[in-house]
Amino acid sequence: MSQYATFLLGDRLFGLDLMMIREINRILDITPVPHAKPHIRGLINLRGQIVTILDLGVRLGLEPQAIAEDSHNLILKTNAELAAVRREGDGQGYSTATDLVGFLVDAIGDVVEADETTIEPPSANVSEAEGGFLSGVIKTDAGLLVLLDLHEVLFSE
Amino acid sequence: MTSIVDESIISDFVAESRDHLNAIEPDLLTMEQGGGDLSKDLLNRVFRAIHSIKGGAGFLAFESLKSLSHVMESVLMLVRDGKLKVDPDLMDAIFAGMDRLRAMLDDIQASDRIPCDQEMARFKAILEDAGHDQGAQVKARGRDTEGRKREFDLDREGVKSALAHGMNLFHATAFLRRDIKEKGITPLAFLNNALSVGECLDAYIDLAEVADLESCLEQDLPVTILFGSVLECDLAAMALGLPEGQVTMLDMKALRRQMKQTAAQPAKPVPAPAIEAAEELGPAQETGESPEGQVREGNSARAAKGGEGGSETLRVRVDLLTDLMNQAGELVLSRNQLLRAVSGHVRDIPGLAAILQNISQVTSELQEGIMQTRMQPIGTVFNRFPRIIRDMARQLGKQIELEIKGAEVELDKSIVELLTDPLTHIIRNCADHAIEMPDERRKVKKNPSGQLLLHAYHQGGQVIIAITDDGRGIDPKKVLAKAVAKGIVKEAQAKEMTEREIVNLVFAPGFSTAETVTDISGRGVGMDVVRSNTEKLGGHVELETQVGVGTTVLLRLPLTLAIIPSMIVGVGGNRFAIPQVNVVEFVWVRAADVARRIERVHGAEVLRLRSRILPLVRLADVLGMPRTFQDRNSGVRVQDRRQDMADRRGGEGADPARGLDRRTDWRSDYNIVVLKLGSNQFGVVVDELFDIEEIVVKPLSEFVQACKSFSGATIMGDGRVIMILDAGGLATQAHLHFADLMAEEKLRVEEEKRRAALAASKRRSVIVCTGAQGEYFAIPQDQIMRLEKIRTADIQLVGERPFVDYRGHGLPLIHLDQVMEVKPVDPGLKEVFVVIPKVMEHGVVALAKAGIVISDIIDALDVEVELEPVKVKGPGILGSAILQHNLTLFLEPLELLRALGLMGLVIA
Repeated sequence: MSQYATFLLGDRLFGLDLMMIREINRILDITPVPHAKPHIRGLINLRGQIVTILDLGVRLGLEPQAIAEDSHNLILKTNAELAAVRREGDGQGYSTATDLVGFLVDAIGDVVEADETTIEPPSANVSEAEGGFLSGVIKTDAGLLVLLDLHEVLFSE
Repeated sequence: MTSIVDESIISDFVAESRDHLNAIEPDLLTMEQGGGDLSKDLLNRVFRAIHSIKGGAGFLAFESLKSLSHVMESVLMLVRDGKLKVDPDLMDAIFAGMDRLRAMLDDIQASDRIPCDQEMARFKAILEDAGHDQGAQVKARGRDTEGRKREFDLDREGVKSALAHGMNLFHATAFLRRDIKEKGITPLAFLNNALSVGECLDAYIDLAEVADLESCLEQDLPVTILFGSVLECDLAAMALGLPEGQVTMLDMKALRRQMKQTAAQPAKPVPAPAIEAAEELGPAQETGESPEGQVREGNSARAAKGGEGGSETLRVRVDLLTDLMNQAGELVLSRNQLLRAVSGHVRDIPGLAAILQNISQVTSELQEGIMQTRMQPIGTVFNRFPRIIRDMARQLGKQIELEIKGAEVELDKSIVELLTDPLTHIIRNCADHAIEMPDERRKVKKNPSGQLLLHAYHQGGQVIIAITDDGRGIDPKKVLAKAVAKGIVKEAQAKEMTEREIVNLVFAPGFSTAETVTDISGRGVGMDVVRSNTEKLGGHVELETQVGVGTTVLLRLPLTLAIIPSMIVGVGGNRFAIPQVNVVEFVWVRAADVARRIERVHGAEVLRLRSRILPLVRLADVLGMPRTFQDRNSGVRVQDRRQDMADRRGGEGADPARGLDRRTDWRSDYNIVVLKLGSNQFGVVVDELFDIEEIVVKPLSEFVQACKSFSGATIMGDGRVIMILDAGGLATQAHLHFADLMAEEKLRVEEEKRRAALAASKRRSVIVCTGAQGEYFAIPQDQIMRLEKIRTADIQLVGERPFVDYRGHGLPLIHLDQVMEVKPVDPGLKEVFVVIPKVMEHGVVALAKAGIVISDIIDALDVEVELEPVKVKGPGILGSAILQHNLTLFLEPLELLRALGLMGLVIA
């Protein structure tokens, strides 16, 4: 059984392995970076460290949203931090980025427990734009959770 | 064997061995040049360096490394003992050996597979010639820690040398854990200790000594050291820090006997003939020591000193220093935030100001101090060059003298590391291409030995490294030809390029002017890598050259990577930082002056500043932000719809209802930060200028690294993140073409000169005359040959053309009203004047073949006037001016005649 952090983009519920997440905060004073790719929202100051914030909605093909009351940042662990908590049997795909990066999401949901062996491939009616970024769906007590392929989200062109 | 030993021990060994090799290189060069008398210290130093490498290699069971260093050590021993003379061949062999040792150290685990037969053969040949019996061994008897009798194989020549120096031979056992690790020293340090006591003949982990399985599993392995020393047994033990029982002297009497006996033996490890008794160590000890009494003291004193050792330096892991540096940076940021946060309340708390001052000072000093720990003298890179130059000079048959200045200049460690390759390339290039062969140099009256100067110094917050040679210089013609041939520039472009631009083509990827690609340099991948490496460090590289005289390559580097003073500017409501090192000055152009001072060249805006022409970049535009200005009343940033800074029309600017005129409102002034990029400069237009602050540069993450306009980000005192601008990136983003601008500027300057020349000749001597009533003309005196008066009645018409009989010829006449928009001369006049211009006919001054009819001649004047363009249409009109209150039309008679086709007219 693994734990997943869930969050909303628009009205869709997504999930990320809790192990990948360093913290969740509302540091929303984001400095934009001119000429950066459209899904790069900007940089924030996380207690003296600079974190790059990606607009996850934009990355998945949605329209950029104004920062609202429920907006949160999901800050990911760096690869170095992940390596420190690596478990037995963790595969190659278990990695994030060298530098500190975070996702801007519209709202945070609960932490949900689910059996990772029951992950199914994403359904056929998912949009093209999104499809590449999803790694599967998983049934939870709270409903169907769409899981993200972190490597694709972070690094694919 | 080596799997038992710790990785860290091996890496320490490699590091120390490299240090040894680097340390003796200058000595070897001195040896080569020294010729005659070489100091004993120097020879000893060199010998001991190789000796310790041999010891460590043996101990760690790197056989190839051990054999090679052993054979080199033997050679050096002979040199040290005066038995072998230094000559170029020997030095060549030694340098070759050094290189091979380095190669082995570079891949230590695979060192046994690295071939060194050539080098070994050379040394063996030298040794044979010197009568040295390499590889011969003798057996010595002694006891191990348990008291058991053991036999050891010793290198015969080593024993010979030790005996010659009056040493006794010992066997010592040191346990890895209890004698070495637990005492807080590394095995190599221990070995070095042993070397300070005498000479190490062999050192290895003796598996035979492993008494039981237990100690093997515990990894308390015994290291056996066989060494020679003039010390007594107990003193030697003390010097090594070992319990007395672990050091025993070998059977010297038997050994000496064996040495005499096996004198003629071939170089094979032959079991020595049986040795008798050998328990009598006493008398042998006596005889060995008495003559050496004095020496013993000297040595024990040395050993004692060696034991204390107190070093001035400490080995620290680089990542630890990097961590410290980051922490120091954080501390600086937090201090900035603290100062800002309490700035308003300092007075409320008594004594707070002093405390803050103290914290601030300590923080700054701490940061500076930590920065210093990472600073390395650039000499560490420079030191390898004498050797490289020596090798290249020999290989190419050239003579090159290298002078190094400023080796003590310090740079951050990471910069020093990244500089190694570019500098090496430049030096090699120099030796290979720039410096001519000695004969060639003599022909042009240069010193046959090429002079190469490597000079590092501080200047204006940067470190400059200049590499100057007095070679043949870079020939722009050759460079251009090669560049065109390689397709780097097109023919058409080539014509437009300045000499400076041509020379800078050597930095283009794929460029090389080498006639043949030697394996030294000239593969065409060099200079562009030099440039990109330098720019990666935040620096610039420039070239100055003069054909036949020499070349200078200049590398400019920032002093430190992490904390830099920067100017904070504002544009579009956002703030950005510009590193101080890029900023030349700040120019404030008042609204009223904008139209005058800012011009357009090729459609781009430029500012004329003193004698320079600066391309201007609006930061808002480059960053893709809307241009704004601050409304004076509301303070709100409003978008600026004006296209052009100098475009000020009354309608848009004036706002009489509000009583403010945007043209002169101070908010419409422009703040320009002048940046420099190498030898170019340009101006950046910003909205606001804030303070100069020290900021901590935080690198950009991989996700935003592609944004070339920025070189990093930082956190301000108020906690906000701002981007740090990169001058080079900005210029590229704004498509600044300094070359075009230079060309334009050149043209402009020439135009200026021309106009000045023309203005100087504005002094004209003219004849003022009239045509119709009230119409005045001025004709340059130097174009007039004759002024004649004629009777109107004598004018005849041929066809429609008027003629007059002049000196037997018919002279065609020009009535001005018929060729230009002027009124006709009064036909009622009885007499008129004819102006006959001067022409050159076959190089001789002659009369023109036509005359201009005028009514009267008024005056001859010397005037200096500016001619205004006229609306009057017609040929030969230069312009008009007011002369003596009359509007006068200035004519150019020759032009007039030409236009009418009357120049070459033949009169029938």
